[in-house]
This record gives sequence, structure tokens and C-alpha cells, in this order.
Amino acid sequence: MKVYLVSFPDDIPILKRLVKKRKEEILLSYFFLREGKPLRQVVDEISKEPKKEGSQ
Amino acid sequence: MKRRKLNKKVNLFLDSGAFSAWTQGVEIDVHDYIEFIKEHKDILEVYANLDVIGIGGKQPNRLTAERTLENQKIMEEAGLEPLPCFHFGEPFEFLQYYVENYDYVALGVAGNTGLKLVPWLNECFGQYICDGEGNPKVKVHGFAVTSLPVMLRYPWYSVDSTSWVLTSRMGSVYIPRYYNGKWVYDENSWKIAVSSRSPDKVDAGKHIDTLSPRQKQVVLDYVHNKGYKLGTSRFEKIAQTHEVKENERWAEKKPKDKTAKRLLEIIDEEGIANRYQLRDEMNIIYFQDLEKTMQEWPWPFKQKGVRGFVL
Repeated sequence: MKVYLVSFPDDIPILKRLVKKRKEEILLSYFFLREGKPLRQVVDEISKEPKKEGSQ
Repeated sequence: MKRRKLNKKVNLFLDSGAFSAWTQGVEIDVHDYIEFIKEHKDILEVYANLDVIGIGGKQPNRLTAERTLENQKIMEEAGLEPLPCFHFGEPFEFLQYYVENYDYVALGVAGNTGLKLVPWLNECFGQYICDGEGNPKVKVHGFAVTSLPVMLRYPWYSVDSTSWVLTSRMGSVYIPRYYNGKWVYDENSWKIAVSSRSPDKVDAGKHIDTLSPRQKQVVLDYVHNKGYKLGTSRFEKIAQTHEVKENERWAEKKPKDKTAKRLLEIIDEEGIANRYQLRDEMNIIYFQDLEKTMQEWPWPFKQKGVRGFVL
């Protein structure tokens, strides 16, 4: 069973956390993608090599 | 337009967000949705039909099922292959149609949880999706399947869940059961509050501080085994003029009285008790481990009673 973890497309830190932990299956909703950052840009940003996350 | 190749590390599933749109009274235009998918098709692993969940504030019914099927056809005529969606409350003939004509279908629970959902899923899987041996005839995706017992009971090909992040933000982490020296994922796992600021701190058996010593040790062993620490914080009432340091944060809203002291959390050691980011990570790991321990799809669905079914 594949488990897609749901995230909001504009929450880049959360998406980066998923990628950092090598969680590849992610579900995003079109409803939240209509406004805000373009999806291509979101995917590009989260696919960059992760920097070590700061404490807060 | 020439597109730059993306260094893609994700398998994206796009759903329409129809349920969120419905709850907010917003209507999504199917042609806008089609345009968006065409623009991003190369980075989408799966995309769902624009499902119609409620019309006139009503729950899914025959009319919504017909409108959902219409959207399926409109999207297909536009050259797309959306994942068809069937919802709780819609006539089963639509599910039958999808099972007979597609190899991957989605079930939407439309906000229903608890014992109402189990008989419906039993009928979906028992009567329409699975053959006489209980083996699924098609791949099934479960929209918003947040309940672990529901996740484990049916032969889903895929599910999606927001519970990993919601659980973390509520100050909790998932902990598998521990039997005979093994972490067990095929039973309902614990959701244990660990946050230093959790309101559950006073409820026996809900917060790590209110578990029995043995239970607490099991939780700590799991946390350490995954490379994390619980972390420690101290709390002090301090003047509002205090300059917050890097290892500190306010633990309550600013009092109206400017002279009143305000609660400050001082983090002595970072861990899942005081960093939600680390709880997020632990819950991601939990779901990854859960996926790995699930038996490989397809597996036969066996009708079981719903007594004692805790959701």
C-alpha cells in the first residue's frame, strides 16, 4: 500500500521535510494550487538538496 | 515553451480539492482544472477526476455521481486519464461501472468516519471491488483515509492521509505496538502526546508523562531507535520585556496587563517534546515503516465483524 502524505502546496518547509526524509509520495490539491506559487516552482524548490534545518 | 528539466524527487498525486471547495462554497471549473493538468502532466504521477461532492449543500447522491461521471468524460475527451471517484452516499451502480471500466478507482468518504463508514466500505470491497476470493479486481485509492484500522482492514492500493501532520501539530507522535521484541504496525498504533505544552499532560495514558513506567520506556525506546530524543524544557513566569533567546519561546499569549508576567519555555535539550518539526519527521518515518510492513498488494479482503472496531 502506498501512503501519499498530504500537504499544503504553499508550505514549503513541510514539503522539504518530506523530501528530506525521502518520502516521495505526496498529495496536493488543485483547490489550494489555484493561487499562490506555481506547482513547477514548488517542485523545483523542494527537490533542491536540503540544507540542514535550523532549530526554529 | 521549452521547460527546464526538474530535479524531481517526488511522486505527486493531484486531487481536485473538491471536498475543501465544497465546504467553502467554491465551485471549481472543470476546464480550468483540465488546463492545469495539461500544463503539469509531466510532473504528476496520478491526477483525480474533478469530483462533485455536494450540490445545494446536500451530501453526495445520484445527482453528484452523475455530475462526477460527466466530468470524467469531459476530462477524457480532453485527452486526460483521470482517476475516477466514487463517494459515500452515491448509488453503487456507479462504483460497479468504474470497476468494470477502469483499473484504478478512488473512494471518497466525504467526511464520514466511524461505524457508518465500515459497513459502506464492506459493501464497496465485498460486493463490487473484490472477486469471490476477496481479491481486488482493480487498484483502489482511499481519499482521506486517516483511520489506521480502516487503512489496515481493506486491500487499498493507495491511500492519502493528513493525520501525520495534524497529529504532530497536536503535539503527538505515532508509536507502533511492541510485542516480543518487535515493532508491530498491523494493529492500531498509539498516538502519544509528547509536547511539553500539550493539554493532554493531565490525562492518564495520553501523554508520555502519564504513561506507566514500562509503557514510557517502550515509547522512549522507539523514539531513540529512530534517532530522536524526547528533549527537555523548563517553564518560567517572566517579565514581558524579556528578550527571547534562541533556545526560548513564549508559552502563552501576551497578557493584557502589561505588568503581568508571561510564561516562557526554555529549551534545555531539543527533541520531539519541544520541536514540532521533529515530530513531523517521526510521523513521516512511522508511515514509511507502516508502508514497508504492509503485505504486498493485492491481498484478499476478508469480511470481519465490526465489534470493538475503534476509529
